[in-house]
Amino acid sequence: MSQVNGSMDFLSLFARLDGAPLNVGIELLAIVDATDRAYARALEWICNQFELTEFRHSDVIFVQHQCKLRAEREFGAGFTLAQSLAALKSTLIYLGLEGDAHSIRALEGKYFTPEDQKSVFERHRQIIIRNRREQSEKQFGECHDFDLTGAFVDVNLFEDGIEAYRILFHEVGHALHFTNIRAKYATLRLDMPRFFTEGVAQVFQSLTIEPQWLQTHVGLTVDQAKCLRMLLDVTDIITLRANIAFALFETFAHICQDEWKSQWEGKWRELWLSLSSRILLPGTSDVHATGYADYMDRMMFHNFSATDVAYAIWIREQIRMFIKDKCGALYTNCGELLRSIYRPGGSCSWDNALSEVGIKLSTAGLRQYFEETFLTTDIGMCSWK
Amino acid sequence: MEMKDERSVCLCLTDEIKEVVDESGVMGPVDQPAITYRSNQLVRQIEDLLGTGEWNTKLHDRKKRFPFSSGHSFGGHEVLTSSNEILFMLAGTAIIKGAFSLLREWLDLKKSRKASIEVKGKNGEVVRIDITGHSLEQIDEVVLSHFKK
Repeated sequence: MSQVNGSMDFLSLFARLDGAPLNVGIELLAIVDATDRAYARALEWICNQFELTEFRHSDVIFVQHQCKLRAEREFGAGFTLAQSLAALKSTLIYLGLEGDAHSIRALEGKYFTPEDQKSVFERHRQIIIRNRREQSEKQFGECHDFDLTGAFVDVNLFEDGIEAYRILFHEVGHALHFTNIRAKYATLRLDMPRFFTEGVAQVFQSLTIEPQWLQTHVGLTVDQAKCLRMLLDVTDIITLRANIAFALFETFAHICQDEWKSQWEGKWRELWLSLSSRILLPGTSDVHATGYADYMDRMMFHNFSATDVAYAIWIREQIRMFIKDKCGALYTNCGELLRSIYRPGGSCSWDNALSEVGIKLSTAGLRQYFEETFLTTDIGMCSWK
Repeated sequence: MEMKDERSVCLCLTDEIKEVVDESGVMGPVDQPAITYRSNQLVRQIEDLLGTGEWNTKLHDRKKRFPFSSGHSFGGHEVLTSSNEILFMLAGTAIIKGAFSLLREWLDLKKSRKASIEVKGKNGEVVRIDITGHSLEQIDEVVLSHFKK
């Protein structure tokens, strides 16, 4: 059973799809196609860097961890937690979101219970940020929407570094989105797909790896900023492609479940090997090296969708490209543009909301972003032993 | 410390577990691995002293915590909160004495942890008494006072 042939015919599988699954399948494959060149270059760098002859599932986890670690250790010095709120407010003002910057209220380390809710939200539309500083937990954040009273950002940050900034900016991205919704139908204000809200929040989060932002707020040199961005983009492109492989696996396995029921395990392995060797781990011929068991666990026990993760990155890059074209690399005064993306909320579908602003859905944003990192940057400068 | 009326009591340890999806779409507990490792060690040591505990897991309904709100965690998905309850059937509260330092350490590892004692009253009703911040003497006092009722 472990020796499976990973040469499944994708075309015949695609022929079985129709309607929405077909659209999703085509979009995901288009994303794969758009990032192929950048990924090949990223893999070349990874194999040189870690002296690998073959890129396997165990290497995926190792490489992602090492890249994050190095980014944090070498370039994380300027990201101090004490200055994060000031950096956040000045960024908002720079973007042209003064109103939102002034509505931010920080509760440092204060415990927030539902009973406190009424007394805290006395004013109209505030963004309240509470940092719990609970060291027994990992750093993470949540954003809660309270409609007319504003948004509550609950973060647990205790370490200076890039990760803390990215979490804070991501959650404030959600808060900006929620507090700026002026939906046609109030009850539908949050009726949006999760990947859309995440994509929109990631637009704001991604500012923290823009070279110009890094130079201004963290004091990195141009080369350091480029290197930091490359390290984080290595993890990003692996995440994107791993999730696309898994999303396609889910789509095909779902369509073929009746036909494959007598030999499902062998077929599933064959499908996963075909997809992962095409999309994530080129040249892999052993199904055990593709992390088959891990991905199956993920499908059985975790209630989230790989499509969501891939789509969020896709939407993020599409919005970012549009803003950069209109306002410049550092989103100068893009406040009104962002508000127009935030405004409809769940009143209309996410693709309509984007097209009304003038954003066309294509893979150009993703292609541009990753090619800028891996094909135009001298990736040799980011080498380390 | 010995209780005259040795009726069955139950020690209940409650631990809040949060699970979150990270950037790459992989779900895992929010707790630091070192804390989880030490907690498991302590629970095993407590089990050696008090007998094997009964584990119950309950998934929380997030709407009750923040009504009318929608939560988003880092990476794109909801934070799932569940609570783990470990129940130890005891002959009396005196038996906790040996395991008290372990219990204290287990409680101090995370702020969200709670310990309580379930006592069955004379009329058969079960009362749960919170002992999270109590000393050993206070525990005995509060449980004894309940027995006197």
